[in-house]
Amino acid sequence: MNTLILGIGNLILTDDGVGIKIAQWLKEENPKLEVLETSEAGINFLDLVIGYDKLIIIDSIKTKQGKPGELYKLELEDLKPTMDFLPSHGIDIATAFEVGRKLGFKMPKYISIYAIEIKSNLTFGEECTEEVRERIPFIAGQIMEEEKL
Amino acid sequence: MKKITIDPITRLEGHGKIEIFLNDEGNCERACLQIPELRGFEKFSEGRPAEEMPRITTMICGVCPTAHHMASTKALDDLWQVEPTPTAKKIREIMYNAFQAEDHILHFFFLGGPDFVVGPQAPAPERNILGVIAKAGMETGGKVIEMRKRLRNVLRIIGGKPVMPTCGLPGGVSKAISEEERKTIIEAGEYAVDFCKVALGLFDDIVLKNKDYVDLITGDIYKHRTYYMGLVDENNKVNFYDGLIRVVDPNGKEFAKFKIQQYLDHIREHVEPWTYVRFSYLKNVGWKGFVDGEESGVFRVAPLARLNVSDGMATPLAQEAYEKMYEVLGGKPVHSTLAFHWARLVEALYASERVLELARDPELTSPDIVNLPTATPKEGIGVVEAPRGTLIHHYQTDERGILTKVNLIVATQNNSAAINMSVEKAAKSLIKNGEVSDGILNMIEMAFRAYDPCHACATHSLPGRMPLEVNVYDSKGNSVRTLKRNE
Repeated sequence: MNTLILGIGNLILTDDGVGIKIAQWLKEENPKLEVLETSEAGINFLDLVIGYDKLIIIDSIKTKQGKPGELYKLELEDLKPTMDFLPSHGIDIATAFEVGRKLGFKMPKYISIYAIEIKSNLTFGEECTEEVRERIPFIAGQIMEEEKL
Repeated sequence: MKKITIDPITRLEGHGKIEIFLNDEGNCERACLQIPELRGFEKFSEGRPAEEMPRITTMICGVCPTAHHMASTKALDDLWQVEPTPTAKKIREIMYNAFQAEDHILHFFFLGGPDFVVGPQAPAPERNILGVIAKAGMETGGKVIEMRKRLRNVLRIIGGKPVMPTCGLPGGVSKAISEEERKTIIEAGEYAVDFCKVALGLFDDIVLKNKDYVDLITGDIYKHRTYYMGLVDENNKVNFYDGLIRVVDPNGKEFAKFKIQQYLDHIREHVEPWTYVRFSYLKNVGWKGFVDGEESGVFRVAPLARLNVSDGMATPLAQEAYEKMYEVLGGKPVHSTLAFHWARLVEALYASERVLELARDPELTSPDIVNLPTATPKEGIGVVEAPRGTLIHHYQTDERGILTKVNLIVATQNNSAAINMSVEKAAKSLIKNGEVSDGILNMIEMAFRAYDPCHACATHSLPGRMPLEVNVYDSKGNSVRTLKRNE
């Protein structure tokens, strides 16, 4: 199976880049893995994922009662916006994939989305905060186990 | 592992806000756009080796990494006083134009276009790429994605990665182009040229044949008589990668033309207490507030500005499209903000033709891709035309090349005074007697969407879009309407 690991985030905004750091970690563990980094969201990266059977997205997230360093596994459907807040022009990842399929592109059949709860992404810095940084090896291990990488 | 239903925090500091203040009659008295900005990048960079900058600056902005990479690489050329080899310049320019074309097409179809293709007052759920596909057809939708895929493959070939390039070195690039790669680039260029012609045809059919849309574009609601700024080549044609900065006045007459090293003699920044965003203005006209006209130093950058400052496009098909635009809109300069969308398509065609032209150049596959720098570094300034306008990187270093001072003037900052003026003018024209429908608010948002501004795009945590809030206040300061987008 043809798999792409997509690390999303910004490596100079403290914890924002944790998804990319984990993706890089996985690549170091297994150089045969196909890994891409992007700072884009939703439909903007549609063209990058066409043709793969499986897509693993790793990104950061801030939730209301979240504990920094916690790992969540999300479903595409979870990323749909609620009806109260219909986006003006942007569309969510789930809809972006529907668009891709509708337009006849071979979109990944299996999609896993991992999100890591973060503490800070509003200050410049190349290092993650301690709470997040020390969890990176463990999280990478969890993803490898879950995805059988 | 915990499974949750996503409930991301509303980061108030991450909101773009349009604030609209009404008077006793319910008409708009004042409106402004407030956008969050992450400060401190300059300080973060200081103390680092300058050659790290092309890699780091790609991360400032999630939407225009290639623009920052290129402005930074050119600042390094200047810092080490080294001219890139002819082949290196061509490789850089191909990459830059491939980026420009894919970015413009993305904006037109996904962000700005829905207002026209689907309709400015159409219900919000339809006003997106899905609505565009429904109207423009599946084939066009597929081609948008395919064109981006091919052009981003060009970025991958040259830049090492499809999104954040790593190829720029002072004096050149890090990797030569093979004959096989040249073929791929040519195919991508051909595809892009064909699709841009389709996109302009679509604009013709859907927008120009609709009298209401043409009236909207040319009407007073979205018009400002300002100065314009952009890079031009030796024939005063639009160039995204290199050239001289040209400024024209509101009558289209050349006001200034200068090398980027002299930018401080021409561009100054104004600060307001209610926002962190700095407002660029022309030093030799002066800051007169948020007003247009010849007496005000407010200028505009980005697609329409570039076309206004130039004498034409350097490629044949784009030149035809350029002539048509000015013919329909009544000659140069065009002051209609919504014409930015049309200018964006003209530029996408030029960028695609330029990719093709450079890809066919026999020198492209030469292994001579870098001149090694030997001078002692001190100060370097680089400029490119980012999709969103003139982008300047200015570095000072010690003799080892360690950064002591960094100043970036980003494209949206150059447009920020005009964006505020456009939002206010649209709000004043459209809001009457306290009536503020969703459609009206969207038409106000259109005023700033035309500029394709990139606000607070540096953070990318899920759900991945910057939320925009529109707040309307009555004459007593009470909030009467709030609309949230992209929450």
